[in-house]
Amino acid sequence: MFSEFIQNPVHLMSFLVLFPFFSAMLLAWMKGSFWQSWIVRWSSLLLMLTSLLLAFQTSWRPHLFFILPHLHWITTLGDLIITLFLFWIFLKKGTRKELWILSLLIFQTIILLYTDWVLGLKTTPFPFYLDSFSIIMILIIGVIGGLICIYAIPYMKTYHNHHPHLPDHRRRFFFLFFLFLSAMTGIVISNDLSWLLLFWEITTLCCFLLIGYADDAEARKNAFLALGYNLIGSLGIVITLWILAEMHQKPSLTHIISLGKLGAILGLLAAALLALAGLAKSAQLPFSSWLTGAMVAPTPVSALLHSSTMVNAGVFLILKLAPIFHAHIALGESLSFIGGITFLISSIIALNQSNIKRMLAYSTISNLGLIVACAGIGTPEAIWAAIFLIIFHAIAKALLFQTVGTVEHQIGSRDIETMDGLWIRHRGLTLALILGTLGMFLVPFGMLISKWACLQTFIHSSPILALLLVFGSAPTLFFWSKWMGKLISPPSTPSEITLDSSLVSKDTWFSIGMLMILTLVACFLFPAISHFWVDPYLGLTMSSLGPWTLHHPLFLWVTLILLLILPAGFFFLAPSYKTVTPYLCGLNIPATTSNAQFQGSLGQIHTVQIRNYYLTSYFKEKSLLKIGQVLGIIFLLIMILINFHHWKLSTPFLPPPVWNSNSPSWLHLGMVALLFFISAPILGALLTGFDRIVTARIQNRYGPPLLQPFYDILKLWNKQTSVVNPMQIFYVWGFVLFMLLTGFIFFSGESLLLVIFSMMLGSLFLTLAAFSTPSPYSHLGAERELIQMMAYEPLLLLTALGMDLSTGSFQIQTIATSHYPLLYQLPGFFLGFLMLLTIKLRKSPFDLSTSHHGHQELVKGLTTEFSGSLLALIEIGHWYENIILLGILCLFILHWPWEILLTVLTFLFIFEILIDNTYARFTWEKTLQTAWIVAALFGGSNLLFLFYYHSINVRP
Amino acid sequence: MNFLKKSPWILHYDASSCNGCDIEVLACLTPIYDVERLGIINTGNPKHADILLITGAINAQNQSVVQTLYEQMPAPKVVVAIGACALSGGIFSQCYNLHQGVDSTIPVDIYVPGCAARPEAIIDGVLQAVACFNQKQTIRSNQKRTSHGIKLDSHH
Ligand code: SF4
Repeated sequence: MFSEFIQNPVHLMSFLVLFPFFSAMLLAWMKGSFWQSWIVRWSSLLLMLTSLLLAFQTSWRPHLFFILPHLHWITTLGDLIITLFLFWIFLKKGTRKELWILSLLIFQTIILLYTDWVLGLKTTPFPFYLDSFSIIMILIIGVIGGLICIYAIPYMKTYHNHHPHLPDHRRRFFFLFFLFLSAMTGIVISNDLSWLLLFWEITTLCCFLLIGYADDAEARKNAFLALGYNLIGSLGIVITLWILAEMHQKPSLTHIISLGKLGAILGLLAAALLALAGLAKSAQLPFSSWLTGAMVAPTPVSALLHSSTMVNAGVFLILKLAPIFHAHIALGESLSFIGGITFLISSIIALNQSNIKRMLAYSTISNLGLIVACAGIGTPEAIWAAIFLIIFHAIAKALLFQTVGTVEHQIGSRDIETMDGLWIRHRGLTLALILGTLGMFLVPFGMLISKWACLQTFIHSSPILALLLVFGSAPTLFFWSKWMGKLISPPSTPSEITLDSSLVSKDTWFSIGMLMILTLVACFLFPAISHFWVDPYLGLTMSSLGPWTLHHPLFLWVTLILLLILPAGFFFLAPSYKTVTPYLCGLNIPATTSNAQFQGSLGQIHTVQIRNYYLTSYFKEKSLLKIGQVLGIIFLLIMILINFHHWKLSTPFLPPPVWNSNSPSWLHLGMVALLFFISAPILGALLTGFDRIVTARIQNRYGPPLLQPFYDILKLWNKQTSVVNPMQIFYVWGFVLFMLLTGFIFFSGESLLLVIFSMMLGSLFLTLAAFSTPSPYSHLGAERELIQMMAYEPLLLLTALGMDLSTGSFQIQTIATSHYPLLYQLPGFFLGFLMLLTIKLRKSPFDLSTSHHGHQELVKGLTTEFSGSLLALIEIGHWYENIILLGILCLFILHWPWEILLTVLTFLFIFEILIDNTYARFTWEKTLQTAWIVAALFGGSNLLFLFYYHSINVRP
Repeated sequence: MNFLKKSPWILHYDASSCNGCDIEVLACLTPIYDVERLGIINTGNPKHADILLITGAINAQNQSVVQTLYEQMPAPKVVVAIGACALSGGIFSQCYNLHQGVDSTIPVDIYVPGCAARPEAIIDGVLQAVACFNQKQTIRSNQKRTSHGIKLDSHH
């Protein structure tokens, strides 16, 4: 009986919906905190195990439909109960300001009752079904949701200890948690829209009650906001039901999809209205403010809303409808613009946030925007990317929110500025935070794999979206990295002592630890996830099997392994070093324990205060949000209204990228690696020597010998290495190693995008090295370096995109063997790349973070605290970087005869030196502005031109 | 081969100079003298520097600063005192707040006299300082051999 039960997916699935419901009831009934924790713990474990079991049971079955006895009255009854309940709450707690919500509620109920009782809905033969996408969602809900429940036990205990004035409603809290999970599972398996609506409303209700948990004015206000926006969304579903009933169609998702694919107005309109529901639920512009308002809730609620439930329901529904958007470009494009704009605007707004939970919230909104954009594109590759975004985002965000919640309880603040030195104060939690952060934006972790896939698809279907993506990911890099910098920097005030790790309970560690493991495992196993669950889904819905897989995840794994063994290598092979005080113009106070105090000119003692950049003078949250909302509303209206017109638009999709799958031989790879390892520093040093001579001649001097850079490096190598924080050594080695790896990837002809991502990882290590010291000069340098990275990243990514558009592949091998010099097709990108080169070579108008000819403290920023062999290593790493960049430059003009090529390169190099010597340094604002304008103007116009040129040529 | 000879990087500190010597130090960087020919760079950062050039005498206010800067320079390092003031206090030697020459505070390797010291003399001083490195490097490598594998600490 038992074995039969666990082998039948139908039983397992019903169990997954009913069991949390049952636990919820039990929790509502049971008193006493012992039993409460006991039930929560074991139910969560059981939930996790069952969802895993279901996943393995069904991994080889494409999809299943379920027949259910006629239970239609349940949905109507459920909807009515929810409405009455909301009505009651409204009478009790609502204010006049929230009257619009009430009227929305009444309006919705009237339509629903009219549809149900007057028109009468047709019944769907299969109200529920299960495919591998649902399975993935069930896994996320079960495993991550379960872990969050376990985490919530100790969290809520501490929460009530910290807020003794709040009434203890923990029974209600856990009841809502499990009800939430049950309803979420319901959403992902519903085929019948009336069932979907019921579960949808339950999640809205749970969300509303959980946000309002603290029951003060702020919580109430935000809870009602969330309720109102979500009701606008569910109005979309209700109207869909009404239209379908009016037209005597079955209210089933599969039916709508097949109608929509055929281009029936009914299907398209339904898709647009359902997408509206999804957009509201996943907090896209113009609805985004409810999710940022939801921050007032206890942290487990945020973790639940952001990772495994609520917002995922929205993108799930939109992704389900992706085949329709794929077939109807006008509808799909307007949807993906909403997503793209949300991505760009909310990641810029995230720059401004010093409240960590708000920063995380904006990052969630932006990532969901990306998923929506993918759904709007709707190609198999885009859906692949979107599904992986959901998976990786859920894991990383759950990890981040849980850890941030724990940290908040320990240090009593959510302000990023108070988190400095967390690495020294609490190793374990910081490690979790760093892993979560890495998981959000860096190669080789999941989110980046998906972003990579997004870039690859967007460039072949919608160049404007690709531009939005390119500009939106640059701020992402900035805000995550500066947060990481804050975490690893030493504490600025001596009073900040080590936190008591015994205060973090076992349940918390279990949950955080599991998520950390999941982050790593998901990275290693993503090809397997793709093969067993994502590809079958694509095969089923898009009838194309495994369209986009990384043919060589090899380099990703190498990067991951390097990242994992680097710390080990550091601890076992640490070189000898001397510890010194940070550079504070010699004014350090020798006798104090803190590194960061100095004596002012009148003898008073100052403590160094280092704050991050938030760029608030430049990007303004309020006005950006307003622009975003207006754009969101416009595109929303377009999305709905566009369906009333028959558009004869041909899809300008370019053919998907070509993958040459000839695997390179090991011998060849080894040779390339060795050659790059040895020759790049030599070439780099010669170039620097040349640079110095030319500079001297421009200044009417004689200048140093050509080999001077070698002498400098060899001298530095033999000097004593002094550090302020031994971790500097680790980060500098990381920088050099990843630059080496980048060069290796480049010269072995792998994907250009991978080269760029890996280069970013290397550069990040350098800024972390500077962040790990308490010196204000190196912090300033590091932040400015990050601003520079934010400035040039779009240029770099656009170059790769342009090369792909021109040659049809991101593989450097293919790009290098194109039949014509790419410069002819990519003049705009070439100009952009020259600008990037000026920034990267640290040439004058853009040498914000550190400079080759600086005599003042500030311009040495990044390298202030390095000496001896570390300084030498930084210089060598920089040479590696330069050679890679020159390599990319060569790709533009590879077809010319070598003597012309050499002349052009020399000319360009001298041109750079000339600029270096004739321009005054820009401010960071101007740097950012110039770089982005150049990227948008030259890169963007070239991109658009090339895209339409190709799409005309491909389809006569 | 000792590459310290070929790339001596300088930290210039103005203790309480009248600015006469400072200007002469900076004159060395101009096209006329162009010390970069000799691989000399003015770094402005003790952690990058090999040679500490001090102009002016040490006074009560800056004594600890000079000590800290000297402490923060990585070994091997050399100190060059420039001008009469840095040598002995010069015309300021009777001032109430002076500790006299630089060697009252940190060990000085090369003394460059003059008021102000001429750029040629300063360059000559730097090159003589470079010669000191050989000696210092040998001492350091001997020390390294005896304390191999032990992390050197600042309190030595
Ligand atoms: S030695 Fe002469 S020129 Fe130099 S600082 Fe002293 S007084 Fe000024």
